[in-house]
Parts: sequence; structure tokens; C-alpha cells
Amino acid sequence: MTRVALLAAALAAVYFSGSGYLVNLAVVTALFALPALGLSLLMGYTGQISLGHAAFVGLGAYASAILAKSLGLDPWLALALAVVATTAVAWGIGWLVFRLRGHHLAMATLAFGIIVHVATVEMKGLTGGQDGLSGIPPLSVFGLELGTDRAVFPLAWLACIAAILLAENLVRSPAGLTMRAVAENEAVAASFGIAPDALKRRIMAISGCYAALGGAIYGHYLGYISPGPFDVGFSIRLLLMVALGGFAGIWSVLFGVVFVVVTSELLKPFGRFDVVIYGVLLVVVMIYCPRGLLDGLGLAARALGRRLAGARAAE
Amino acid sequence: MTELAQYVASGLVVGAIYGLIAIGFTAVYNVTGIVNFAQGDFAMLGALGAIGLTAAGVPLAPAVVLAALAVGLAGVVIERVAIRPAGPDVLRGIIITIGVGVSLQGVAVLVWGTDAQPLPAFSGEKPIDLAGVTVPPQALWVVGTAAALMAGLYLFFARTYLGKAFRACAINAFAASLMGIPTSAIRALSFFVSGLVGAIAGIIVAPIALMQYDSGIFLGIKGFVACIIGGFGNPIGAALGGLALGLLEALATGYLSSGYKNAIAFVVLLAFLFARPGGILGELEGAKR
Amino acid sequence: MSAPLLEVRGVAVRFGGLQALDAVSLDVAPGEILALIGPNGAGKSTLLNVVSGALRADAGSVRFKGRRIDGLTADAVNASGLARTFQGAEVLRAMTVRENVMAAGAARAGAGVVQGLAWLGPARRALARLAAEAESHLATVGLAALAAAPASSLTAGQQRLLAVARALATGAELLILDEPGAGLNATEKAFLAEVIERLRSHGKTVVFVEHDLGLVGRLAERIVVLDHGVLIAAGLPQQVRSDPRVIEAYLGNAQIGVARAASATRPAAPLLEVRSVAVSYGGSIALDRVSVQVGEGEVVALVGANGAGKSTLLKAIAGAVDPQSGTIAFGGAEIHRVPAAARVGRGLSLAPEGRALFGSLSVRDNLAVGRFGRLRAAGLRQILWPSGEEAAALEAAIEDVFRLFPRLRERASQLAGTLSGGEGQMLAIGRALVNRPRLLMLDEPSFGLAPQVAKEILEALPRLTGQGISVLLVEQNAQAALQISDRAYVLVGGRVAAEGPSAALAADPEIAQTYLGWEGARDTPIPGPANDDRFNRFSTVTYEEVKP
Repeated sequence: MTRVALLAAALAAVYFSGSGYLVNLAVVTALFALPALGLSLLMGYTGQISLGHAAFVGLGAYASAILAKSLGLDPWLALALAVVATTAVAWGIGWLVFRLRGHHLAMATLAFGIIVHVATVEMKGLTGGQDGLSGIPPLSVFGLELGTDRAVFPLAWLACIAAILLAENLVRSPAGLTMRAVAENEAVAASFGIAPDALKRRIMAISGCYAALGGAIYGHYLGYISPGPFDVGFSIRLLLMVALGGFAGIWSVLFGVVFVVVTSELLKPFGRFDVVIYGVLLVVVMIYCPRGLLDGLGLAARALGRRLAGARAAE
Repeated sequence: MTELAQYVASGLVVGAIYGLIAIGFTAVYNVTGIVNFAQGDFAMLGALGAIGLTAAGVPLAPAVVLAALAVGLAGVVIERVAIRPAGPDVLRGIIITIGVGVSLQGVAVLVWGTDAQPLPAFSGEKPIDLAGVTVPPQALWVVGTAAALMAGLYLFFARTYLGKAFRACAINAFAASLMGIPTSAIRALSFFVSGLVGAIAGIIVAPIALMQYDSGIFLGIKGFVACIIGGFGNPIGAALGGLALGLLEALATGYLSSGYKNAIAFVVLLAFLFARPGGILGELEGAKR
Repeated sequence: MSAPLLEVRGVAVRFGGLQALDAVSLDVAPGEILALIGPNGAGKSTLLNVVSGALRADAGSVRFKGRRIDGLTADAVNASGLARTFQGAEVLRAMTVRENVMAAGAARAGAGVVQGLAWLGPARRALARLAAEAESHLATVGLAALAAAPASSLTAGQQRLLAVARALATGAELLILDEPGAGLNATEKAFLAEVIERLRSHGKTVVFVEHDLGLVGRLAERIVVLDHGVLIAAGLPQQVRSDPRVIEAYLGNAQIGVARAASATRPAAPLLEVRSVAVSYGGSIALDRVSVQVGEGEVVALVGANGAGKSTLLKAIAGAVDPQSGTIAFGGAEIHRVPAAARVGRGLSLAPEGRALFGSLSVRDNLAVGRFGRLRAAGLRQILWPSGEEAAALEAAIEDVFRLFPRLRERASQLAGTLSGGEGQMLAIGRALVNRPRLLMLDEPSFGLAPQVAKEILEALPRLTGQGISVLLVEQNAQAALQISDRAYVLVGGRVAAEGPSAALAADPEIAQTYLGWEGARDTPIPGPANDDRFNRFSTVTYEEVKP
């Protein structure tokens, strides 16, 4: 609970800091964190791989936008329906892909991600194609429209914090133990009476739910969405956030998200270095810091400390 | 009828490229058990490398050779630095190769920017008329080089002593080591071959398909699909799978819409993954006994 | 007589050309302790997998508490009250000991994913209940003190006990334990036996697969014996132990036509000297200070039951496994620091367990590749395309193999993967001979072969000494091995239990008991080397005494 309090304090500091830039960054962080948390539950705790998670974010965004704009539904209702629908789609995709393993699974998820992306580009009638959908009605609370950074900030972070707390609950519960068992050894999990594929589908559904929520809020807040942000590159950036966070560890995922968002900003003036750095970072972290960047830095710091202490003792 | 022949012709050209990429996948997979998600980026790097060299004034032929060799060497370095330390975990291996691919794309952006680049055609641009079908001369280069390369690789693996030792290592590394076959050198060699073959694929297609920093992603995916169609680990299957995919794409582009061209590859991929993960020709004994 | 808890009827499983299980039927009575034994490859694991739902049988049925469970998934079988452990213990290393046990009970806890998210009452209570139950199960197996330790830090024995605790946590009535005693020392095995008896007093039924016949003798009320997929004996321990079919199944029965002549008169210099080698795999001792010698021109056999450490010893000599201590000298030079790939160049060749052929290469190519070490030493050009002297030497070596095994000549261009079992073994041996080794090591050449074929292959081995090749042979088929070898070592539990001239060992009536390691009645303690006469029976014949 103290972590939540600290987070709330930090958020309050940002909100009242007077810097529109910081508030914007914070909103972006929250909206990225939602799909990242979902992916972490799937990859970190249940040991499956998904290279197409951007698709769920996109599905949530587009479904909510289309329901609100074209069907004229109340934005909150559209959001709820979009999230439920995407959750069902995620469960269905899980039913299809989890009979595969290893690189076959990775490729199948990548394929689904790209198929969804291509569909959003090609189905111009429904999605507006490359031009996207504009004029998406914003969410509103007691008449206040959540269309600006400051306005959507509380919603985005409430959703994010709720997502964190629920995920923590799940990991702590008996279901969390079954997830970890399936991640490490499916045959052993089955010998405990755990049905691995059914569990994977459920976690995939939750993961899709989180992603869709992030996408839907994003759509209503910006008022405009296009296929561009929901491509393979975004799936890989989500992968990076989760990998930097060490795959498992709800709060370290948040660290991973913040790291990527902040470094993106810092690297902007330097042109295109960010892609190389992310690629190299991904490789380095996977090889040397399997429990995440933070953990790896901690280990390195301790090793350095020991060496310095040893050098000092030798003097 | 000539319309169909035209589609078949362009399908074969594209299919030859996919086949080469697929062979690159197989070379690495058979020896290491890893699917190298950066395979397509080897092609991209070879193409951009050749383009950069020719732009700097190097004549075409040496530029091509240099670029291909450089990418082959890069493959060896990548194996040593990124793949070997990773250990046997499949998930980690996949993510690491994705990271490598992203890094290569990032390097490409830094060196060559994000614009698409042209490579001069090897023997001119004037289209040739073959029995009613018009093809650019480069198309003949593509098919010819791909066929020669595949034949060369086939001869190497089937007829030379080293090639057989290579295959032995791929089938059972433990038994191969008992014969004194240096398995880590063979691993490095497999990455060299995969880099070389990938680079050549990218170079020969560069004059007719503009290459840029992210061209590798789709090439890699298509090559992977070709492997799945032909049976992962089977080099002949890889080549045939590539041709099959190329033909399917060309026919779909011709008779349906070009926008769905990419989707074809994925629908085929999913169909095979769910119905016949072993591909048409079946997986070879592969890296396991 | 109460109804059987588990009924297996006519179960058959076929893997390709191999009939792994052939119309196997057995019953398990409630509350009994039943042992399932049999030599390597008998089909015990296959039967376990069929019963637990991990494998679908081709024919037959399995009933548990009267209801059919064959065809159910593994998790459904567990839910009906049957739990199994795995041959490799397979603890979940990312979790603590307590979490491993809690995970085993989680499926029955009645709190699913949705409740987990919300952390409502049911989930909270379920977790607390799981934790309490885990403590109790850990106490039953004696691991209570290690509850918070990471599972990866457990010794092999403790891992096996953890596996038992997990099986308990699933709430099963029938526990099927796969080699629960593997890698345990005598004290740990005694404790394991106590734990299993304790389980029975809690109302559980236990079936266990074991290779350690000492543990079986001590613990089992009834024994069932499998051999080559067929049930050959079932009954009380006293009956089974003295059943000639059972003894034959373990020791082999091939009557070798060409018995080894008495050792030649030339002085045999030591070619291979293994001194006090010890190998451990993650806490469990595979070889305990084993010393073995092979002289020039000798055929030496290493016999022993499965798990005795024979394969490990060969792998240590070949360099595939690093010993924790001891030295290995070959041709007078120490080689235990030389990497595996280089040992081939010195004249050491291993035909590994299971043959490990290159299936998609032809017979001739398999043989050719065996010469890689020598070609490489002759220069890089040679490994691309052997020519001149080297090519001739390669051809000559291949010719020699065809002369030894004429059947391979007929099949020279056939793919190795299409060969029959016997032909494959010939090829594996030929492949190891092509680089003209001084010492040929063979790991279980007769495994999976019909007796006639095994006979043919084993009979060919003594001929090799005429070509200056010494042979070190690991065999489960002890009787055959003793007939074709000069000297032999009997390994039991990672130690040399007996050694001496093969003829003497073969003539000894006690050899069966030593080899098998049977114990006395159920309540005698498991003896150790210090207090057992059998281990001292063959005063270890040292090398010097064999010299004429």
C-alpha cells in the first residue's frame, strides 16, 4: 500500500507542477502501462509469448471509437462494450494459438497482430483506412469533457492504479501460483490438476482487457486514431517495456514503461538513436539481466561496490 | 492467358527471394535450434550496404561482394556476442533475435536514413520479352542468382565432406562432437551462411524493390512462412515453400487487391500452423535426435 | 476382498516399430504398496504415462475407482484422485518449497482467476488454507524446516521428498511415484521408505517404479515386473525375487557362441587408467571414487543395473562430463583436462548410448564423418575434400568396417535412419572405428535389440583386439558381456562392487544377487559396503595379479 501512496504523491506532484509537458508525459505513461501490465501477466507470470499485443490496444481503440462515433452510443458505454468485446477476442485468439509453442507461437501472435493492423488499414469503410477516424466524442464526467491532458490524467491513472492492484491480487492468489506453475513446466502443472491451456486463455483474456482499456481511453482522449500507432513497432516497444521490467514484477513493469517513455523524450533531439538503443538494450537485458534492468543495475552496483571495497582494503 | 503467365513470372521472382531468406532461416535453425527473427534484416543490411558502397563510387560487382561478405561476418559476430551467451531458453532466444533485428534496423536508420534507396540494376532496365511475358532484366538476375546459390549450397551440403560434417552437427551435436567435429565453429559458420545468403537475397532484389530500414521485417516474416510451408529445417522445402508463397502472392495481387497481398502470407501461415505445423515436406530430424 | 482401486486392462502402446507395451493388465488394491520394476526399456515409464493421462494408449482401458480414466487429460486424471511424480523430480525452481506444495493444491482450492483478481474472501481464505496444508504436507515428508527455501537449493533427495509432498497436496488417494529413490544415499532411502509407510498409514495407496531393488525389497508388499513391454511376473517379493524369468530379464540370457579365449600371453600394458573418479549431478552422486583399468588388447566389461553409473563413467572418459575429482590417463598421459573433441584425436572413440546416428546421412557418409578428427589433424583442406593419402586411408578404414559388418556394405547408400536396430548399432560401432582408435568404448550396444542380433554384434567385438583395438564395454546384458570379455567390473550405486576375470565372475552363483542388489526381508536395514560381506567377496583383483 505504501507503494501506491508514493505513486499517488508523485502523481500529485506532477499534476500540480504547472508543467503541461510533464502532465502529458504522465498521461502517456499511464496509457502505455495498461497494455504493458497485461502483457506482463501473460509473458512474465504465465510464460507465454505475444508479439502482437498492439492489436488488442488497437481493437479497443477502434471498437470504442466506432461505437461512439458511428453508432452514437454514450462514450462510457462504448468503452465498456469495446473492452468486453476485445476481451472475448483475446480469449478466442488464445484458443487458437495456445496449442502452439515456442517460435510457432511467437510467429502466430505476430501474424495476428499484423492481420489486425492490415485490416484497420484496408477496411476503409469502417475504420477510415490510413486517414483514421477523427471526431471521436470524448468521455465526460459530470459534464466535464476529458479531452485534455489535465482532464484525462485522473482517469488514466485511476485506471492504471486499479490495473496494478488487480494484477497484484491475481499474482498473490492461488491462481497466481497456477500461472507460475504453467510458466515453468506444463507437464508438472497438469499433474497438479491444472489445465494449462484453459488458464492461458483466461490470462490472455485479462491481458487483452487491459490493453483494450488503454486503447479506448486513448481514442476518446485524443479524439482521433489511425492505424499507425498500433503496428508491429508498438508491439515490440511493449515487449521492451516488459523485458526491461524483468517480465515479472508488477511495479518493475511500471519502471520499464517510465524508462522507455522518458528515454524516448530525451533521445528526441538526437534523431533516430532511440531504435538502436532499444534494440541493443533488449539484447543486453535479456542476456545479462534476466530479472530486469533495475535488478541488473542493482547487481552491477553491488559488484562495483564490492570491488571498490576490495581495492580499498588492499591499500 | 498472358496475364496469368505474367503473374506467374513475377511470382517466381518474388518466390526466389523468399526461398533464399527461408534457406537462411534453415541454416541457423538446423544447427542451433533458434529461429533468427533478424534474418530479414540481414537482407536489408546487405542491400543497403551495397547501395551505400555504390553511392560512394565503388563499382557494382565488388560492392555486391563486399556487402554480402560483410553481412556474413556480422552474422558471425552476432552469434558470438548475442546468441551464444543466451543459453538454451527458447523465449529468451526469440526475444534476443528480435532485439538484434531492431538494432540492425536502428543502425540502418542512422547510416542511411529512412528514405527508400535504389540500387542500379545489374544489366540495365530495358524490359525483356519472353514468350509474351515482359520481365525486367533484373528479374532474370534474381532467379538466376537464387538458383545458382541454391545449387551451390545443395552441392556443398550434399557432396562435400565439410557439408556432411555440418549436417551431422545439425542432426546431433553431441554425437558430432564425439567425432571431433567442432560444434561452435559450425555454429559460427551457419550464421555466416545465413548472413551471406540473406544479404545476397536483399541485394539482388534491391533494384526492383526499393529497400529501406524496415524492409527486413516483412521479408523475414515471408521467409518464415516459406519455411513453415516447406517444413521447418528442410532446405529443399524452404526453397519450394518460397516459390509457392511467391506464386500465391502474385496471383492474389493480380486477381484480388494489392492491399491484401501481405495478408495472404499471414493467412497461409496461420492455416499451416494450425493444420499442419510440420509443413508439406515435414520437419527434418533437425537439431534434435 | 475389496474392489481394486486401479484396474489396467490390456493396455498396448506402439511407438513406430517398437511395441512399448503389449496387453499389460494389472490391479492395484486400495491401501497397498506396489512396486513396478523391470530392466531399462521395459516400458515402466510408458505405463505410468498411460495411467496418468500423459499418453494415450493404442488399446486397452484404465479404470480408477470403477470409472474409466484412459482418454482423460492429465489434469482431469489428477482431479479424479490419482497423482504422479516425475522421473526427474521436476521441482518448480522459481518458487520456494512451500509455494511448490501450495501450487499443487491450488487447482482444488476453489478460487479461480476472477476471484484472484478481486482478492475477495474466497481467494484470501483459500490461500491461507493452502499455506496451512502445505506446512502439514511438508511435515509429513520431513521438509518443514525448508519451507521458505528456494526449491532450486534442495538436494536431489530433498527434491524427491518435495515431489511426494506435492503429490499429497493434490488430494490424491493413489500416489504413483516415479523412481522416488533415484540419486539418494542409503540414509535418505531409509527415510523415504519411512515416509511412504507413513503415507499408507494415512490411507493412501502407493505404486512406485524403482531400479533400486534393495529399496523395493524393503518396502513393497507386492511386486509387478515388466520386461520388453510385457508383464512377466507379479506377486509377493519372495516369489518374484527367485523367479528365473525375472533374473533372466535383468541379467540377460544370450548364449554367446564364441566365448572369449583365456587372456593372451603377451604382457598387457595399461592403456586406460581411471583413478578414483567421482561425478555428481546436482547433488546426487553418480560415481563414487571409481577406479577402472583397461590394458592393451583387452576386452573389459562394465556391468551393473540401470542407474549404477556405467554410462556416466564412459562419458567422463570421453570428456562429455567433467569429474569432480580423480584422474584419467590414456596411453600414459593424463587426459582429464583435454577437451572432448581433442580426445578423439588421441585414439579414444565412443559409440554412445542409443546409437545417435545421423539419420539423414547415408551409411557411408556416417562412417566417413567418423574420421573427421584425423582429417582435421591432416589439414583444413582435407575436411573440405579429402584427397591423396588421406582419402585412401579413409577408404581403407571404411572397408575394414564393411569387412567386420558385411551387412553394412549392402546398405552403404541407404539413409541411416532407415536401418533396423541391429544394423544401426553396427553402424554406430563402425563409425567409432573409422578413425582407428586405440580404445573403443561402447555404451549399451545390445539395448533394444533382439537376442539374436545382439549376439551377432557382441560376438564381433573380440575380433577387434586382433587389429590392435582394445574394448571397454558397458552392458546391461551382463551374462553376454561376461562371456566375450577378459575382465569385468560390477557397478552398484556408483561404486565398484566386484571386479575380476570375467570367467570367474560368470561362474559365481552370487553374481545375480550382487548385480541386482536385492535385499533380504522387508524389515532388514539397507546395508552399506562396510558391513556387507558380498562387497568383499571378490577381493579386488588388482592389475598386477592378472599378468601371467
